[in-house]
Amino acid sequence: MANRTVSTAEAIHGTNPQFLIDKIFRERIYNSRYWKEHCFGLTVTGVMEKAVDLPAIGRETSSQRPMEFVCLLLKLLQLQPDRPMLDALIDQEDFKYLRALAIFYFRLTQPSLDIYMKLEPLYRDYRKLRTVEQGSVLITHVDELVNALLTENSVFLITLPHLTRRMLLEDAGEIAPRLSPLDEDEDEDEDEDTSSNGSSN
Amino acid sequence: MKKTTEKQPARPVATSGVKVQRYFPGKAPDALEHDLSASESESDDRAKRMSASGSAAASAPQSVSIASTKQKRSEDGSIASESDEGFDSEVERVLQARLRARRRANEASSDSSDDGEDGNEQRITATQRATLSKQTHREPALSTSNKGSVASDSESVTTVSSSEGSYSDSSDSESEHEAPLMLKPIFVPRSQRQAQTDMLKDSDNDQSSILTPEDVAVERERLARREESVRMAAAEAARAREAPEINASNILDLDDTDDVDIAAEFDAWQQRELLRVKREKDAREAIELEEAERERRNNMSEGEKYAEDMEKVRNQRRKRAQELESLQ
Repeated sequence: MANRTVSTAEAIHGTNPQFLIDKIFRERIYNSRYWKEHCFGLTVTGVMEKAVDLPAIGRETSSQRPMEFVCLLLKLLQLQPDRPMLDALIDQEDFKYLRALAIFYFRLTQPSLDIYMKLEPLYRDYRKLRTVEQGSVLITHVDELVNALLTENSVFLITLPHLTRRMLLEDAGEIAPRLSPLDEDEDEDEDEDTSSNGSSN
Repeated sequence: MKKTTEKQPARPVATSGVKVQRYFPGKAPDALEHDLSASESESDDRAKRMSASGSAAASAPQSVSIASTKQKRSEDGSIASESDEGFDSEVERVLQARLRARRRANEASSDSSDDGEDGNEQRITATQRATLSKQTHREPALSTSNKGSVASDSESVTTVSSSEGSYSDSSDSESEHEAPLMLKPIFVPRSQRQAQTDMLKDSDNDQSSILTPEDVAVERERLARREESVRMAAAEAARAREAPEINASNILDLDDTDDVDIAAEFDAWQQRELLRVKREKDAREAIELEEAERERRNNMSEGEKYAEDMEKVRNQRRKRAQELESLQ
């Protein structure tokens, strides 16, 4: 019961949204302590509250224990929050780990055009994130996460759904070529830029 | 399909007139005792075999080892399964060889020359057997599908049939197979066969003990286990050294507060962003170049294209030659 996708959910990329995470890893999450203890019967609000307290992003700790980040990610896939809610989670700037979680979910579930439109502005966010990668803990940044999600085939060993190449969308006229914050802020004051990224978690 | 024609009377064939004992599993070999006590001379054996009426693959209770070693030699039996006479003779020869081996083992002879001779004899036996087996009806398919002749597991049949080729080629391996005490044959995968013969070869030199297949296997297993444990320990140490364990406390130790050093953070971000922009620009340029090239070639005539290609190849060759020269 606890591992079923919510009944009102739509298929994502043609399948049950939970299948975006591969079966083996998914099973490991289901069997993990955090999932059983904390993610049972959680709502989106509950996920939000837990995401605020996330210690780090990443796939699993050294003993192959799935991290809270991916557990909550799977929970979101199960719950399938609606688009306004998702947008709100991304737009909020108070909690960076929650933002990271929402960004990841967005990348997994939304169409290509929306991904570019929504995630590229987040290149400005250079807040630090504790990241567990390949068995070591590092500090990365939100913009690095966004970059990985937009350019790599898989992040944290989770295969990302196919993303249409930006050039194709540009040629089709649906999106303008990317304007980097560096270019567009040449005239603006630099302080203006950093103030929006200031608050830490 | 049932035969609709009448059963024909038996036509005379070469083997008719010879008393043939058919084998079926469970049948006790009645003439086996008699044959085992035969002398060691080749000719005698041959003669005996020709007239032998002993049945083939016995799961003889009185000599389990003989039967089991015959399992190892099942190639002979299985090869000649087509003609029972050949089959029987093969088996007899095998039994004789086994008996000789056993006697030799029992003597625990220290005289190397004796062994050498016997080994020679065995080698002769081997080659003779090999040639004979070549003559007799030899079908690998049959050998593997032959079920009744030897009460062996399919493994040993496969082993032997797959090592068929090696028998005729390397008669050296013969002595190793026959010298040890007769125990249940252990399936030796192809990759370890050479290792096994090497081990046996080494031990033959000191003559202190006869290595049984079991000893070999045990030894190898022990070595393997030792290697494995050493490897695991090394891997564990390496892993511990390079990747310290991650748990909740470790993670929280890392500081992720922002605005500690605003300028530095901003600079770092700027660097990253610049790299990204550059990468995107390069990708775009590459595609544009590709497009332009394609356009250009499109507008050229066939001859022009050919000329250009040739020129390019010529340049490439020249460059490569220059590189080689510069290396020298």
